[in-house]
Amino acid sequence: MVMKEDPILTNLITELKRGTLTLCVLSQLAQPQYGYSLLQVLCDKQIAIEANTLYPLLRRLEVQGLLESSWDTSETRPRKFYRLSSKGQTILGELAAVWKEQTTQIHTLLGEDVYA
Amino acid sequence: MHDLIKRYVEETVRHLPVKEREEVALELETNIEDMLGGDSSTEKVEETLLALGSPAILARQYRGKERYLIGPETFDLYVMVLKIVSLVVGLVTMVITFISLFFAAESIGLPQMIAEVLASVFSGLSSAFLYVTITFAIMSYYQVNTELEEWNLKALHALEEAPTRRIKKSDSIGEMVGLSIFFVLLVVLYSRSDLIALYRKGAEPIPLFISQAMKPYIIGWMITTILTFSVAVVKYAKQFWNTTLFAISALADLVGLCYFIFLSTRWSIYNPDFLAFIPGSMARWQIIIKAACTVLLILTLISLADDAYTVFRRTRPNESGKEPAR
Repeated sequence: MVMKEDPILTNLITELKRGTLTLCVLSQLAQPQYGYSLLQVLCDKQIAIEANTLYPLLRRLEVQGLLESSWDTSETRPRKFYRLSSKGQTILGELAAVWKEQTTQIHTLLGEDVYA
Repeated sequence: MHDLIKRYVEETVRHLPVKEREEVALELETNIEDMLGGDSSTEKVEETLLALGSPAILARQYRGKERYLIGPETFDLYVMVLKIVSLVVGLVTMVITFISLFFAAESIGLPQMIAEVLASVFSGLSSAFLYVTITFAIMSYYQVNTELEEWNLKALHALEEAPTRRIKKSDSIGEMVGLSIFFVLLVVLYSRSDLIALYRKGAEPIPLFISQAMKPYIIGWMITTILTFSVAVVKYAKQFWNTTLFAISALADLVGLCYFIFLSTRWSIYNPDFLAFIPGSMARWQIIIKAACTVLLILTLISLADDAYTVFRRTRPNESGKEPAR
């Protein structure tokens, strides 16, 4: 685990994760999910994302047209379900390709011994 | 639903646009309820809401973009415009106030004149600041694009060679020489002011000044001249402008100017016998003097504006004097 005390490091980690969170969220929305259920899905897969980051992110992605939403009122509490729109699917594919390419490059840059 | 949740959600959506509030509130309430996992005790609610963080920050996340009075992309332009506008407004206000005070029906003393000029310059600068800021705030609010121009090859080549804040040696030397000559003139004026006179054939010369009335003022003028001279020496030594140096230099110039204006408008120093030779006498003479003061004032302000431009718009010299590592 990294040292959380150093504010510079904390800030850099936040910066590093910011872009990848979108990728994580989009990747899990082929199936409809509501806020809390998605939080748990991600948590089960070891992706640490705060609720106060995820909920607003979902809404912003919807406004950008990458997600579409529907309200399920059949249960006691009405829930807003999100899933990928067709635009979101395309974007996810492209982001994933960029991610894979970049991880390969960074892997090469860092070398095995540096961060092993 | 727990009262705390309701209050938390209300506080969050309060910061959002009206049309989004209801939906965000409904969704957020459900999410919070889900996070409780069926445990609706006050402790669990408190813990969950604390983990969600401040409502203001959460709302900011929902909005997705930071809000600024003056955004970071506009800030440099804002500062530049503010400087230019302040300079122009400050100088123009100063000139206009001075002129209006000179030609005012009743004459006022120098301290009161300075106070009035300072007051109007201050109020002019405050308005300038207010209007520039409001203009930029409105531009930021409506996201007006203030990118100056496209960055391309043409723009690259159009970049100025960095002019520095160097003070020309010849300027400082010229200033020192001029002030020295002026000082000698003052000394002459102090000891033999009757030499400046109207000479006629076969009659006593009529001096321009009344020696006794003039003498006390001359000493003050010598002091201000020495002050200005010392500033010229410092400028020569420092070679480069900095803000403090500019402030001192401007102050010295203005003090000298004010003193000249103050002295030349003490009407008791002029010899009435001399003025009798000027058509219109004293009244005409006063107009001539006031006009001369105004011209001098304008010239000084122009020179100050030029210096200010050098100080505020040009690049600082590399103060360590070392070449950067390559």
